[in-house]
Amino acid sequence: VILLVACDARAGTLDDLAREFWQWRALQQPLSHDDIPRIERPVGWVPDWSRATVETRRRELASFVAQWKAIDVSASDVPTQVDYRLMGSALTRVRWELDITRGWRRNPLFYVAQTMGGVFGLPPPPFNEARSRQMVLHLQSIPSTVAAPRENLDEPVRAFAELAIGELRNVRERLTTVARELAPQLSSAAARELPDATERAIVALEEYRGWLQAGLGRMDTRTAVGQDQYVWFQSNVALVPDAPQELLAMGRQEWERAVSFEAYEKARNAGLPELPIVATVEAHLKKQAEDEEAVRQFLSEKRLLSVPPWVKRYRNLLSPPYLAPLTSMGVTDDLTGPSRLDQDGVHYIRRPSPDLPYLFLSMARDPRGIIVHEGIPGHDLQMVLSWAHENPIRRHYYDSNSHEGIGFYVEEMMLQAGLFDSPPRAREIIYNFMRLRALRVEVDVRLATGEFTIPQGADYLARTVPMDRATALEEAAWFAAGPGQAITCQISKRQILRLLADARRIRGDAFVLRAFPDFVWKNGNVPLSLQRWEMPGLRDDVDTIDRSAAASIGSPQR
Amino acid sequence: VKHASSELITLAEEFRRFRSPLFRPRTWRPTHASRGVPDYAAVVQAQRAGLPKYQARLAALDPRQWPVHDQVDYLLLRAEMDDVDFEHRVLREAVTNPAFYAEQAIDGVAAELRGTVPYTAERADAIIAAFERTGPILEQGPKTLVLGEASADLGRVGLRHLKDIRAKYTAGAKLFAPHVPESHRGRLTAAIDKASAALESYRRWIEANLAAMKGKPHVGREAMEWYFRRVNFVPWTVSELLYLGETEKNRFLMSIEIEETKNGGEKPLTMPTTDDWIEWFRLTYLQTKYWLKDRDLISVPPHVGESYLARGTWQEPFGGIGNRPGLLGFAPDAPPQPSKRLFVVPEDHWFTKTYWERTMRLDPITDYQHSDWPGHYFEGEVTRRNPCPIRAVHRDTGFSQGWAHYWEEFFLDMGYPYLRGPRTRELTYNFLLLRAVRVPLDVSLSDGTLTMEEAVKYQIDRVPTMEEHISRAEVELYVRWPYQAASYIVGKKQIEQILAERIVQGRYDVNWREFHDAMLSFGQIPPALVRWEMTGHDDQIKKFWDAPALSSQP
Repeated sequence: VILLVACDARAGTLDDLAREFWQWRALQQPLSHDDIPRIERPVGWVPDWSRATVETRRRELASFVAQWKAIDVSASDVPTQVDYRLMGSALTRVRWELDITRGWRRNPLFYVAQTMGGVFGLPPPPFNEARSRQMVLHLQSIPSTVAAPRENLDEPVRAFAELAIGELRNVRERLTTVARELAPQLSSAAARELPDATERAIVALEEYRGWLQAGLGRMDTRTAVGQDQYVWFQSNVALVPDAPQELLAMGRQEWERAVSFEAYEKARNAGLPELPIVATVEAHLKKQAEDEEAVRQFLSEKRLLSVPPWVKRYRNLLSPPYLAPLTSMGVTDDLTGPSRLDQDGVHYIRRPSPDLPYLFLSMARDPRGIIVHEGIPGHDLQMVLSWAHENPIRRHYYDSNSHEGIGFYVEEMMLQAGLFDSPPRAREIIYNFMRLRALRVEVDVRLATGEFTIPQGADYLARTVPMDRATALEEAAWFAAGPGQAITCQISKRQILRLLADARRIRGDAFVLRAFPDFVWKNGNVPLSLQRWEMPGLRDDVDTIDRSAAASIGSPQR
Repeated sequence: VKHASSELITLAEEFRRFRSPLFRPRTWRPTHASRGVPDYAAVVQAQRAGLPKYQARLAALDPRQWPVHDQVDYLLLRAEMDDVDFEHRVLREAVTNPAFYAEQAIDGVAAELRGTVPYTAERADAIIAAFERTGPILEQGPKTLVLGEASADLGRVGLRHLKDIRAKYTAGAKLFAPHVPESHRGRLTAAIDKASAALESYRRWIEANLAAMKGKPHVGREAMEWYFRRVNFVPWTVSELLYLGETEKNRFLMSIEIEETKNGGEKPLTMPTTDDWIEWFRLTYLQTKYWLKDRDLISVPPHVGESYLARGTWQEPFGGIGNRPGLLGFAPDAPPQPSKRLFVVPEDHWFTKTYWERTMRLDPITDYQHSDWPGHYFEGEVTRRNPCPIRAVHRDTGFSQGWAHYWEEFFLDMGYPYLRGPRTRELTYNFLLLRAVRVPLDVSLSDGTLTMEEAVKYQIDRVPTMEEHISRAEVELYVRWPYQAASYIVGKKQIEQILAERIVQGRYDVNWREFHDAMLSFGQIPPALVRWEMTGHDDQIKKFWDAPALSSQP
């Protein structure tokens, strides 16, 4: 009884810290292109990256870290220790953002995400009064947001500036279109304020673009975050046990496998026609809805995974005209959030055409690849289950690694289980996805550790994907701007397979495949090294991470 | 094939004549071509004394300006010399392995028993002579083995070879004596009796001296790493191999889980009778051959024929080597040429319950693509006809096993129509899993992290349906042959690497027949060297040139 009380007291302290931290994080976390870290913000929130605010946040972070360090969970059960480490990782991620990648000081594109990214209104209509007001507020905040980089960008990187300049090309035309298309959706009060807010935002962004253009010659051409920092991120934030050289070896081997397997599929399907592109939007939406239902049935029939009946649909919608000019701002989906579990997850599509970008084209040929990765049983299902977690730490913590690993793992799981056996050529799509993800590892790691410059990374992509050099340069710059992000699929898929293999070995004949995801999906926000510690009880990865973290710079972990 | 240096070819011919066949890994040991009783200590001394002269002649050549083909040949010959060096500096079987002499005696007899019956008088003489060599071979064991360096674990391997040996020899005599001319049977019986006595005596000697054997069976970490690099041209470090092995192991476990779950409603595969299995096997040959042809996956040369099964019997220790110590047959007819014949036992024999045999009986394709078409048999018939004299003779486990293993997953993913239905996929993934498990097994066995007994259990614990007979036979082989166990999956990954790079070089346009024909055209040589010739990538090669010789190691 005494022990239980003691544990509860500690857990309570940790919960208090978590509650305060997540409230704070909702104010402080930067907007990003990735769909996984999207979080619910308080009403009236707008980004604030003024130097004074950043300094305040630094002090607040230090206070959180001090509180966290003062909590002793060494005698607690493993789940509590896992929660403790989750908070350590979450705190360290803030430091990674502020002090290591320091996008607010190095990356001009960062401010494009904080501005244009906020206009990227993903949840489908309606825009009620509050939401309408929020849109206008965000537009109104843009001039002050893009004033900040003039003070903050003291180590600007030229390659990232060029990306930002590219993103801001035609900004007037784009935002004007957004405002025109959005106005009828908004409340009348918001709609009245919209033109002025939009115009001021456009002017501010055009000025920012011009300012960047003028300063290009003085900017740093080095992009790498550095080997030590990269290892530090993997050990302290992502909680990944693998060393960069191991990641490279794995990436190469998986790339070779994916290229080989894709080639097998093509040979198997030699002479067969390509998968047709769906003829109309209506036909696509109908097919996607049918396929989503079929995927659920397949999971049940093959006894692979349980989808609780309360989980809402994952469906496609035609991208609304107000989103179209902003699609470069991120993944065009809305996977809902902790307070919106009663809503469907949505992925926006474009009108069918042979000229569609890569992922959209794959959806127009066969929506199931993206249904599986992004929807059911991938991101949407996992995130919905995690957002329903009774433990608020695990509900709010996010880590792209485990999310993307689950999304990537289920692709091969479903392929192996036979979902893509028909129609012919559907399997090629999955192996093609696999190939592209595997080759990102080489680019991400080498760009981050400084073994590749952006042109070298572009050469690799151009040769290996293959793709044209201009696109390859842009891709390489994107990878360099977000070290550690492009490899999440590959790293974590490996960790999931390892977890599955060890759980199976430990459980023996009692192991049931369908029961495995019940834990992994629900805890899908939790890094897999910690899941491994908690579920089959193996702390080898945690020990590796601790050794690596202890050897790396300024670790707040213990 | 014309080489830049005729001296390289001359040197290869002379070195290969010099190299004693007695010390090569057990599966490769030839059939005692000399048919005399070797003086092992003298052979060892001669090998050690002679080798440096050949190495010096090789070192005097400067291959760096030669064409890539010739540089590869230089490295191959260097590897063969290094292998001999390894035999006598590291393995030292004549000094450290008590089982060695028992194997030399027994394998020499088993080799003479192969072929058709009835035996001619000349062959009967050879069989009797092989039995008669037993005593003189075994007598050298106690004289040549150094107890302080000999391994008790390997001593126990010898004891297993020699368990109930008189009864086994007597039972064997009943089987093959009827095929020996009547005029020879008396001499044969006497020779068997004398051989049995010698084997029993040697067994007693091992038992008596087991406690005094203080050596280790494994080669050690440094020697293992050196061997991987200099003899097998493995481009990856040991930690990279372990990482690779673990990644693949986990993938295959996932596949097994999913296949089993998916096939939950399918009828379990039933075990066929031996006669039915022989027919399944023939069907598998036909289907595989025409599937390969129909898909235009590889050229089928005229010198590759049918591989087929014939009814045989079981009598240890006269059968095949390794895990088939009792499998033999007495066929009155020679197999047609070209072809490959394998003897099999009746369905009620205990051997049918062992790991490989059980699975192969459930569906022959589980091993057919590996051991027959287009695996070992097919590959061996092609590569031994390589026009380059160095390559026609060179043997490399990384290529041989990598090639055979590569096809297993190729068939799975290329949609091979499994005759016995989808449950065969579960079995094939099980075989794939085993090869991945062998990577840590190989490393741990070679560096001594696992004892031989632990290694036997390691495989049983990690591979469903693995059992002691097979696991033990494999461990007894692998402990004296670093890299062999790992070479399956590592060789496969290297072939996938070459394939992927060729696909990129070809802008994602693949001609499968050309790729597979090209792979075999380089001979049975390490895949890293194939990669250099085939893709032009030399990034892995520098470390092979730079790796030091064993003689320069501390």
